[in-house]
Amino acid sequence: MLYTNVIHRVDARADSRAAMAFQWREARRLALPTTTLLTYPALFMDEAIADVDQLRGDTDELGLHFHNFQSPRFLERFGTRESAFWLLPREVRRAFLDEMMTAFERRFGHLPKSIGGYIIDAWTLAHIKETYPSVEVAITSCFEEGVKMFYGNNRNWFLFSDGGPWNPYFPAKANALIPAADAEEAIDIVAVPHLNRDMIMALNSRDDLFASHPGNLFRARINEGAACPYLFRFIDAWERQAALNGWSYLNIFVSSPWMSPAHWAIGNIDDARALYRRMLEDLKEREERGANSNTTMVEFGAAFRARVKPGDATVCHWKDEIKQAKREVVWVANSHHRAAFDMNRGGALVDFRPYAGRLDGNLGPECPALWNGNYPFLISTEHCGGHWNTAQFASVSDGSHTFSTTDRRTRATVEKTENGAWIFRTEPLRFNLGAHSLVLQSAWEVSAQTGISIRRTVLEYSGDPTALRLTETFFGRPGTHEYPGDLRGITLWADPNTRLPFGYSSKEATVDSPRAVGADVGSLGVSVSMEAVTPALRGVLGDGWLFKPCFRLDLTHAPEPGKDVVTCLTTRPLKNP
Amino acid sequence: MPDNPPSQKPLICPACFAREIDPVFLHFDPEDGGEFYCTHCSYTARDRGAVEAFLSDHIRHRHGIG
Ligand SMILES: [Zn+2]
Repeated sequence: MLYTNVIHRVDARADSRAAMAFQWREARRLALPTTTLLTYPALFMDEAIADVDQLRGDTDELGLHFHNFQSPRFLERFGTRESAFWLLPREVRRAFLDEMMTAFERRFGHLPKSIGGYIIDAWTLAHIKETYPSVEVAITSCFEEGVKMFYGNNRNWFLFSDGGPWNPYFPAKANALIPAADAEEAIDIVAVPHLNRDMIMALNSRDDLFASHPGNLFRARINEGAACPYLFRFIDAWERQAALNGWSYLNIFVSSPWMSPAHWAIGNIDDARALYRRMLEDLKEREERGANSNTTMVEFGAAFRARVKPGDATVCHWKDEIKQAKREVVWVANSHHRAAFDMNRGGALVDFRPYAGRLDGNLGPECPALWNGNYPFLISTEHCGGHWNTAQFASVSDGSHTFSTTDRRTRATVEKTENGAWIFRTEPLRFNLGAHSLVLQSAWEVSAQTGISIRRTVLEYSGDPTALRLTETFFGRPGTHEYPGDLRGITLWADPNTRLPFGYSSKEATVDSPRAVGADVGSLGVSVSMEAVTPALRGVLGDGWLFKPCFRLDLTHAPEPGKDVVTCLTTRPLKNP
Repeated sequence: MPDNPPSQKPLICPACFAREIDPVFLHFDPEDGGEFYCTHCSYTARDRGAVEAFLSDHIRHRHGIG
């Protein structure tokens, strides 16, 4: 089942209020429930409250939103020009929340169950749950807007929460971007994303432009007048995700300024509103044919709690909905990691965030991270300049010629297994090795567990198979953005008994028949390893150098045609980091 | 560029070029009539002419023409 959730935001400015009245009337006309979240200035403005009283229907839910609060009242009361809720000093955040909650209760007779912010960190979420236990569901993150939107927005948008899940989840007390492993670790609030994103653009471009938001699609100029077929393909794509996970959620949060003629990104307001109206009609039509359920945030939260428990994993199989070309990516998130595999590069692991270290992600002037809420990666092909710097992939050699799995584009099939895992496979791909040809297929099994099982199978080879060598490679570099940090302190190891401290020496250590090769990365509190489930011939540990600041782990096998070579990519908490 | 058609020079991705990212070469996938694709951004094109037209347009802008 796809749960669709139309969300409005009540702002104070007259043009925004008029825009919100349009949004709300359209939803009412179609009897679509909404979640309508009030901002701080609107909450203290009688005209805005009068709008709410006049426009709301029985199926509309009211809650609070923590953006767009800066106003003469706020500045006078709290004495700060800070304009992002997640960056406010904690004392101000607490007092601001108290004032909003009290005012909401006074206005509407009860405390809210649904709240939203662009980022809500773990400290704030836990504080809210403790102080206002009525809160059941919260918008907590703008999935993967971080680094790329910062550049796209001319270095003015300090919103960094890269590295978390795209789907709803139970956030961990240690870091709100990490899905909790169990109920004890969870803050008892269902976290939902601020908008759904194009899951290919989330890897390599502006996923705020390609999102469940007609106004942002106008900003991306992917409309032609009021027409925007991409939007409906995008909704179809989220409907398809329900087949993989048993459920899917679509957060459609168009804040009112986007439906105002005054918005800088909107060329023709009639077209923008016509697309918004058409989108709501589409949601209604889907419901009439049983494809989705139009819900409020709190209704979705209840449905989610009935279906999903802390520790469950989620996957996404995303195809190119912009150009409808062949590109596909597969994402997985669980309490151990978030991983993205790019079928444009033969299924290479191109973004990998291991959560074992449970790093502190709290933000604000008291916190070491200040504004940088990005959960660190060990692999980010986008931020580190290509798969030759950070990625996990395989290569095959006959002794004289070599190819890499990244050389070929492929499609993926994704299947759910009986034990609640997922297996995804590339197509069988034909590669040339000199005069000979070889057909290779890759497959991955992902689940709620830490291990990602990687299988490579040589299906055909026209040459002498005893000459073949298949090498699994992991290139890693910890970071949260493009500039590399200090990699000293990382220890590369092979099991048993080989250690190579990272020191920018470019040295290599070769090990016969290792059970595993790995790296202990103290800054992430994580030990990552490739375990040779199929016994390996050789392992290589590669120190980097300053002009190529990354480490390399290799496991080399002699593959036999028709037999799987299996490697398990695993992360564990690092003891004594 | 193992999967570019042999004997032709690899094409520069015009979208990456427009963002002033150093030459990123397009790959070629022969399936379904053939398609050029970029592994850095999401650019794709069906034929060589479309890539070259996009690229030359940007180069003309760079020279202040057009
Ligand atoms: Zn490109």
